[in-house]
Amino acid sequence: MRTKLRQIYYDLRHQPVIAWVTFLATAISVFLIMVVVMMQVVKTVPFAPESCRDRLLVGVGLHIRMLNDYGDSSSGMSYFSAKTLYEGLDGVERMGCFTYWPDKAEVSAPKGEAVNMTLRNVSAGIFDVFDYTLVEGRYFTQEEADAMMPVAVISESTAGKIFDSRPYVGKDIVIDNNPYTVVGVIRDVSTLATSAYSDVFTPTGLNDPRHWTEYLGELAVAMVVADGVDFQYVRDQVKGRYAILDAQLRAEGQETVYHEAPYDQETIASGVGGSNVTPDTGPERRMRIIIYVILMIVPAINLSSMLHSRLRRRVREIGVRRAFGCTRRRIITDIITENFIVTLAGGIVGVILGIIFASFYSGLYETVDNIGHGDTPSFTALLSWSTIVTSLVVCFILNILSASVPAWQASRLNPVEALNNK
Amino acid sequence: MRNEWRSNVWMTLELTIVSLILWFLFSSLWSLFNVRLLHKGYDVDDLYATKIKIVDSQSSLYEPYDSLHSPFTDLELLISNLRENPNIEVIGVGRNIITYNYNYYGTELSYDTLTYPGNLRQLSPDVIRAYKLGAPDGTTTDQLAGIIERGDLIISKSDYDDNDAYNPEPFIGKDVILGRDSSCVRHIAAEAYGLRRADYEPQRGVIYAPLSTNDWPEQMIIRIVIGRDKEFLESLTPANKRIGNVYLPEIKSLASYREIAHLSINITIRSFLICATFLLVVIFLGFLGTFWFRTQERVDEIAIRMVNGASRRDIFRRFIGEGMLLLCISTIIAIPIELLMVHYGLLSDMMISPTEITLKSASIYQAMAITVLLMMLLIIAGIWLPARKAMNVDPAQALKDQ
Repeated sequence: MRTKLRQIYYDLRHQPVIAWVTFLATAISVFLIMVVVMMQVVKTVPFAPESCRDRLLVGVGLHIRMLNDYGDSSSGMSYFSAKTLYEGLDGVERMGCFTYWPDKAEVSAPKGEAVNMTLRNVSAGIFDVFDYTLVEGRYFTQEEADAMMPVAVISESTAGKIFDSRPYVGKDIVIDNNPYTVVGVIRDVSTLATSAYSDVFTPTGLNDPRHWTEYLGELAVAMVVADGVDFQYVRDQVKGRYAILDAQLRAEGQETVYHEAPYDQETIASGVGGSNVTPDTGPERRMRIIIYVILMIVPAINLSSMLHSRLRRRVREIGVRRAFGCTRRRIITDIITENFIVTLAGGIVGVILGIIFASFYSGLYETVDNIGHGDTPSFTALLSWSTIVTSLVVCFILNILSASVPAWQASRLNPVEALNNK
Repeated sequence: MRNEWRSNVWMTLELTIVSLILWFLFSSLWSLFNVRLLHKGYDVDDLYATKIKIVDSQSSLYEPYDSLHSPFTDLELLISNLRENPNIEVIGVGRNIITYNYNYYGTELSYDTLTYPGNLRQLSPDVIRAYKLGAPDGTTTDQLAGIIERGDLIISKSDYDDNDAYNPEPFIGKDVILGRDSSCVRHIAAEAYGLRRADYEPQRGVIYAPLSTNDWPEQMIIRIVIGRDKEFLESLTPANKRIGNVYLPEIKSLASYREIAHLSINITIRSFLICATFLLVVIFLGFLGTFWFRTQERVDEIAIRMVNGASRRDIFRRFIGEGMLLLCISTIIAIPIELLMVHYGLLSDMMISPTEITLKSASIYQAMAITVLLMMLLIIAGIWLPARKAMNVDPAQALKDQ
């Protein structure tokens, strides 16, 4: 192996430009694939408080149409519809309701200066679904939520902005000109946690007067499915629940339109589109595959053409080795290994570039809707095994794609002609 | 060149694939920019917007009204106080009046058998003045505001598709039914430009209707004096953002509304641009590497040419010529493939284009031109370095071995 490495080193030193170009092209392509992978990983990798992403299903939206074809309406659900459609499903461990499209609210201490923060109305169950870290106090209970008690859970930084001193729990707070009492303070949530993020949580329950109608409101349902339970099994049950809601709606001349809810994290990440459409992850997935293929094929052709040039310089060497009885297979393996080491070195530089880029540039990650630019994702989220393994696999594929044809050609050299340098 | 046929085939293949991809990226981006560059017909600079909220009547902070007062009187007072602010030029209120908001409040106008579907924007005449809204036929902002003032409607053309349903012409000057209530007959007085929902979305049909006196205006648009942003924001105290139960929660510039509305599309644009840059760099590196090797191999040939009187420029031209020939061949292969892809709609659901891309779309041809031009520049750059080194060869030295 040491001889091999030394040989590669001399070969590269002998042709510095081509060596550098090969190295750079590999580094850039691995870097780009890393970025594309990370853009996707951030959307689907589990991290607190969305640690349950692998088993998370979200029921978004309710679409109701008039039986006389006179029109339709769609939006989030009311607490009543959310309960009817999603409560007590078999195979679901925990569930909670939350406003899917969060709003901004004016938040202040009584008579204090107001700041605009993100507000979500949630049922108590949401604190079970997402693993927030409680820093002070407690979460509100569903009894308090059903009674529409004026209690709120706020994030640490929100508390810091409006109050002068700890403890924050028990203090009065004004949210959109409604007085509340802080019962709990949680650690700040990353805006990349698109379902769990909020600065302020206020209760919603059966008696929430803010629902548009008996059936429609602004709520979605997040649920954690038990290990080993198929998502489709849960969806089938939900479909059955739609029939129950229909029985009630038909008496009022209406019926539901089912859009394959609830959705998994990949669907949520690519955007559900609206409450009156069935989300389709197909185009986005196809696009992603095309991007991966492009990012590999183009540099592979390039590297292959350069390796071909490099090998032409070594025709005599290959000829001599063949003349001394070296097998074709040995020549191919040697060239591919050699190329793999260069690709891997470029790949490692690419991975490092990718990590640096991801930590300092957040312009490529989707954050919570209508909040704007958020923070950069944490290293733990980005440096998941899947990202590293993907990058290594990419190096390997890139190597096979780029080295196999030139290596095969080189192994076919006729030693006599090679030594004649024809 | 024939001696290098194998590597030339590889390069042509690479160039063809890259031109296809670049063309795809640029046609998507170009069709977006074409929409963005469309004449808007209204001015979003120096504009601020906010929601207008009322304290919940269940709240202990709610101040009960006597028979003379209501949220409407509070709002009237709040607006008249704000009008005294020297930094403010115009204040308009209404519903669904903020551009850079994906809300679509669909309704339709109808008369005889014709219907016109549009996004209903209910507004006070001052909203028209705040946006400095114009009309394709030259009707002025003040004339348009006058139309709303006397209770008539204004509609706009839709650039969304060629559908005749969106043609406003047959409706101008007609009395039409607004919505499904046949008793609600209104007069359409003019056509104006439509307030778009985002800059990357073409103008949709818009129905501008006067805000009825019973309807609570949910939003406010404020035009400030040019360049007085800082003074304006500093002049807003909690006292002049709240009167009685009516308050303005967050006054934000339309630029920040725009940033939020374009967040997702901007991420896509950035990804596409990064991808395009990457491909161009790869092409550059590819040509650099291959031509480096090629010129080294052909030092003898170059030396013989130079001995025979070829100037450096001739040699350079020769190399560039080779690169351009490869580009030409790859372009000739790529263009029919691109046109076929458009014809069969193979890319339509992957393009982020806001309008449908057909063989008639200018953006696909503009994208072809940009692709060829950029690749040409990068190929020249990639060849220039090795060619320059090759030209510095001393013929006597190079031919010593011969």
